[in-house]
Amino acid sequence: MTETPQNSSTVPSKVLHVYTPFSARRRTPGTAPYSQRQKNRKLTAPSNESFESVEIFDYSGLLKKTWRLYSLSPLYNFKVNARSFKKYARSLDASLTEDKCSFASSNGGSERSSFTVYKDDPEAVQIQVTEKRNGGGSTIVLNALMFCVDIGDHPVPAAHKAHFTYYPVIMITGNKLRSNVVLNWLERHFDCHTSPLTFSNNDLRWILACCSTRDAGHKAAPVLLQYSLQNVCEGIKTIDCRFESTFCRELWQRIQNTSLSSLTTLKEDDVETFVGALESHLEYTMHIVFSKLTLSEVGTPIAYVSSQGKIKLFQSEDIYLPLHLVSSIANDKLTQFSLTQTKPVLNTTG
Amino acid sequence: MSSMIEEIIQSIIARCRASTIKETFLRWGRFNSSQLNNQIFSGPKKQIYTKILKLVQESNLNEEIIGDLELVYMQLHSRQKQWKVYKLSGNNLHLNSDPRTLRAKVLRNLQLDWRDGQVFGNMGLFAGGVWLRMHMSSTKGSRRKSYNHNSSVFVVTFPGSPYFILSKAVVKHVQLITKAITTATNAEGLVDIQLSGHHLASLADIVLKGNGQIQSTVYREQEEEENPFVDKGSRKRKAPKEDRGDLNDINDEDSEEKEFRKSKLVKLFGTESQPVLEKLDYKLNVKFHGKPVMDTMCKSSVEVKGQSVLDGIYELAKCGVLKFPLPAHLTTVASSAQRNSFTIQARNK
Repeated sequence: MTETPQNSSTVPSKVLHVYTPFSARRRTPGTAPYSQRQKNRKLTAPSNESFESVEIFDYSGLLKKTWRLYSLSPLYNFKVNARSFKKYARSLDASLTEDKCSFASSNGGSERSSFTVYKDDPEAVQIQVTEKRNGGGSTIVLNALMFCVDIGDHPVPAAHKAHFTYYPVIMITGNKLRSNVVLNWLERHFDCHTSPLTFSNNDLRWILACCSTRDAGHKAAPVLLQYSLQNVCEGIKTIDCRFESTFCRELWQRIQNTSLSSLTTLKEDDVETFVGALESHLEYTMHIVFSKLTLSEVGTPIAYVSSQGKIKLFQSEDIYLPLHLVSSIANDKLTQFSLTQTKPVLNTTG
Repeated sequence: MSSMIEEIIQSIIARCRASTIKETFLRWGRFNSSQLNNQIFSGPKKQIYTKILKLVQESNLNEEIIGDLELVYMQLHSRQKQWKVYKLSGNNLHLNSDPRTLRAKVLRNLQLDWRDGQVFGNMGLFAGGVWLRMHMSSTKGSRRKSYNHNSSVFVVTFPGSPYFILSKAVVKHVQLITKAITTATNAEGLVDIQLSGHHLASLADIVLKGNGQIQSTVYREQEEEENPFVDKGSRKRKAPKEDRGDLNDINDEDSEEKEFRKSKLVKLFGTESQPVLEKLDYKLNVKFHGKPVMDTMCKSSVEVKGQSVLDGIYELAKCGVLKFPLPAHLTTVASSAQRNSFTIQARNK
C-alpha cells in the first residue's frame, strides 16, 4: 500500500515511498513483474532490405545440422581482426591439446582451430576446429558460430561499450567435450559467462508463429507442434501434431488481412490468435486440451527448434528470421537477469 | 559343419544379454541341463560361443534344428521387433489345421515362390500361440551373403482365429509370406488391420478378446458384490473412503466432477490395466474448426507416442486434460476399432 504522507503540510519529514507492482506510475527494476513479455518482434531486418536484390549469401554450411545453443554474455576485449584471430587460434589449440588426455582420440591427428568472420555477415564470428587425420586430409570436428542478428540495444552501459563485444548466442555443433573446452576457453579469456539456452513455452510459441509466415514451397517440412507430456502422465511421452505449411500461411493471411510479404512486425495478439487457432482445431478433433500442455519442440518449414536449446535450419534464404528470434530471446533473458540485479530505488522527500 | 550354423549361433549369442543366454539355450531343449552347466556360460561371449559350438558339433545338429534356436530366441525377446497384425479375409477358411501341417504348407508355398535359395521353416508352440519362423536364404550369385537375422519373418497365430501377427520385415518377404499363408488357409487375402506395436501379448489381447473384455470385468465385479457365496469383507455397506494421508485437510473443489470422470472411465475402459501400445497415429482431413472460421479443409496428423499410450489416455481423462465426452477414436482403440492407426476423412458436403 502506498503510504501517503500524513500531515505533509505541517511537518516536513522524510517519508519512505514504497512502490508495489500494482502502482501505476513508477516501475523500479526491483519490482518489475517476473516475466517481461515481449510485445513486438521484428520479422524482417531493416539492414537486409538493401541486400535483397543484390545477392543471397550462401549459408549452406549451417543448414541441415543440429546445433546446440548457448547464451553468451558480452565478451571483454574481443578483437575482430586477423592478427588477434591467429593469437586466439593458438591459444585455443593449447587448451584443446591439454584437454585431450581426458578423451581418447585414436586418430592422433593434431587439432587446429581457426577463427574467421563468417562470410559477409555483419559481425558473426566462426570458430572451426579441424582434425588432421593420419592418412591425409582433415575433417571439421567442431563448428561454432557466434552471432548477433539485428539486436538494437547492448546490455552493457554506454560508458564501457567500447571494450565489450556482444554476441547473444553461440551455436555449436560437434563433440560435447570439445564444445565444453571451447566454452571454458571463451569464459577464461574474455571474462564472459556461457549457459545453455533453453526456450520456454512462450518462446516456442513466438518462434512457431513468426517462422510459419514464411513460404518454403510444396515439399517443405510440415509445421510441427510437439507437446511433452512427461510431467503430466506416465504412459505418454509426446504428442506430435503436424499441419501443412501452406495451410498455416493461409491461416496467417486470414488473421492479418494483408499480404504476408509486407509484414514487418508481429504483435503478441497475433501470435496468440495463430497458435490458439491451431490448438482449438486440435482440441475439437482430439478432445485433448492442448492449451494446458507445454510445447517441447516446434517445427516450421525454415527451422526446427527444441525447448532444450537445439536448432536445425533448412532454408538458406530465410536464415535471418530464426537466428534473429533466437538472439532476441537470448538478449531478453540476459537483460532481464541484469535488471533484477540492480537495487530498487528509494525515493525520499525532504 | 555349414557356416550358416556357426553364423546363427554367433548372431544369437551376440544379441542376447549375458543374463538371458543360458535361459535361451535351455529352452531350446536340445541339450539337457547337465551339459549346459554354469561353466559354459561364464566368461566373455567369445568363449561361450566356442564352447557351444563344440557341443553342437558333437551332437551333429543340422540347420533346421539350429533354426529352432532362432525361434526360441524370438519367443523370449519378442519386444525387440515390431509386430503387425493381419486378418484373413474370405469364406471357407481352413483355420483348425495342425500346426505341423500349417508349417509344411506355408513352407512349400514359399519355396515355390522363392527362387533365390532355400527356405527354412520352423514351428514352435509358446504361450498359447503357434509360432512360425520362415528364413529365406539367398544363395544366388557368386558371393554368398552371410546370415542376416533380419531376413527371417516370424508369424504368430492362434488356433481357430483368422488373425496372423507378422514381424516387421522387408516388403518383398512380407508379400511372399502373406501369399503363402493365404494359399495355405484357403483364404482370399491377408489384410493389414492397421494395428502394430512392440508388445506382442497386448496385440494378441486386443484382437482376441475384443469387445468382451470390458464387459467381462464389470460383470465379474458386479458378481462379486451381488453373489451371496462370494466372501465379502463386511456386511455393512460403506462408501469407499479414500485416505489421502496428509492431504485430508484439503477440500476438493470439483469432487463431483472427478467422481463423474472416474465412473465414466470405468464404464469405458474397465478396471484392469490397458493393453500396451506404443503409438497411436491419426491422419485427419476435416474442416477447420479453429477460431477464425475458414471454410477450407485442414490436413493434419497427430501422433501420440509413449511407453503405454492407452494407460496415458486413461490418466489424461482422469485429470481432466481430455475433455468428456471422449471421442470414439480414442476410446475404441482396444475394444471395437482394434487398430492404432486411423485415417479420419470428413465427408465433403
